[in-house]
Amino acid sequence: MTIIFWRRFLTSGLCVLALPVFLGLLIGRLLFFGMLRMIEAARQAVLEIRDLPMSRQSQVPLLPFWAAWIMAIALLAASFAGSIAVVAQTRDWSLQDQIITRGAVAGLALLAFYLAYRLALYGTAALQRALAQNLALLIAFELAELRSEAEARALVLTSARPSLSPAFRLPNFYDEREDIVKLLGRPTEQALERLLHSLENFNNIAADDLDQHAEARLRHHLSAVYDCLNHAMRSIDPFCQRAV
Amino acid sequence: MLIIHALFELTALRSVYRAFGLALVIFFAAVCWLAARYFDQMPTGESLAEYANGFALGTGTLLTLVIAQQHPLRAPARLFWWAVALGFAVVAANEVFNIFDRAERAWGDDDYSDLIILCLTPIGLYLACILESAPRLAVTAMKFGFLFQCISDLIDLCDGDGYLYLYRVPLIDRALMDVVTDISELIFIETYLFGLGCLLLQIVVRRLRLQGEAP
Repeated sequence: MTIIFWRRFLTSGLCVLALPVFLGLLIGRLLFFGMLRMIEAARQAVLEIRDLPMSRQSQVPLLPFWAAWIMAIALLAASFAGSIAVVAQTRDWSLQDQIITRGAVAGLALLAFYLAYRLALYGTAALQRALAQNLALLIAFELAELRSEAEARALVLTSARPSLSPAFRLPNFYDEREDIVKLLGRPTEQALERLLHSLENFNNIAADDLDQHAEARLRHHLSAVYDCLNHAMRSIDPFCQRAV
Repeated sequence: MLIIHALFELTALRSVYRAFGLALVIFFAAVCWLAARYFDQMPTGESLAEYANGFALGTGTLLTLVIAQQHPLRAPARLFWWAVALGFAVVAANEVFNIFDRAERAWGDDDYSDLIILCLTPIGLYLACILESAPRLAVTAMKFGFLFQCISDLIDLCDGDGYLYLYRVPLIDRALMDVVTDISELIFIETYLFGLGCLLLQIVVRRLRLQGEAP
């Protein structure tokens, strides 16, 4: 049966394409270049899928988004299937019975659609929060590491051998500032930018030959690092607190 | 770089719209297979592809309502998306329950409504792209969707059904031509759905940025 269908399907397709109306379209400029662009787009999509870094993708907690949207679509499908089945089954019923049954099903279908809509809204909001929270958590981990490094340096500076204080490593979000602006906004990005500047200033002092005033300058810059670190943590904190 | 242009560089978003595109392709393949499998068991004038069109249009209603919700109340964009959602819902109901045909009037013929929809669609697409500053991928999807819609309507004019038809394709029975028409409709509806999905993702990120910039 399936083979017969496909054979007839292909035959019908060929017949349709052979029509004069379609011949004009097929050789037309629009369709020709449209096909070329489609092939190019498909090729590009395949290449991009091959390059997709799965490790970064898995960092994003997208489960609530997918779960909500899949449930919404399933509810919608169930309401469609139920309505179609009831309409088909009640075709031979009396008019009064038809009105009651179909009216009840229409009400249920509308309720299911409303629930699907609420689920879809929830899923969309979850995606929004997931994107921001993912980036915010990564940055918050970096900031916590920086804080512990700064505390270690403060201890070293109070000891008798301040020259042992090495430079700070620059955090990983150094190269991700565009994503930070996109997802966490300009104020957060500016707070992190100030932190990076203070770290660089500290590193410059630490790299210089240490003289008798160096320790005081290092202390001064370390306190500036602390201030910037606290400010950055306050900026990032609301994004980390959002429940997904 | 503007966020609107940089949207699809985000890895997480790329995974979302690719998965959505893949789901649409799988759905299309499943509908083709089911339409072939149960071709002879469906009553004349009905096909599983027609129900699938109704379901896809229902999903479009859901997507447009969610997009509308992202705009402030009484904003022109929100009113526009509500109107689009209403249009999707009416067409979905008509696709599944043949509401216009039940009116038993000449204007109730599907060919007329298809032509009216074909005339209104470019206006709606233009407004959607302007209102949402649509990204390149969404615009491309909508362009292809409209191309497929034109082809589908031309096929519809050759099905020998209704008041408006140019040519009846020989060698093909009515039921098969109906299935071919419905499947061609599913192609453009799914392409529009993909465009709508891309628009929604863009709006999600844009709103996030605005919230981030709020004092």
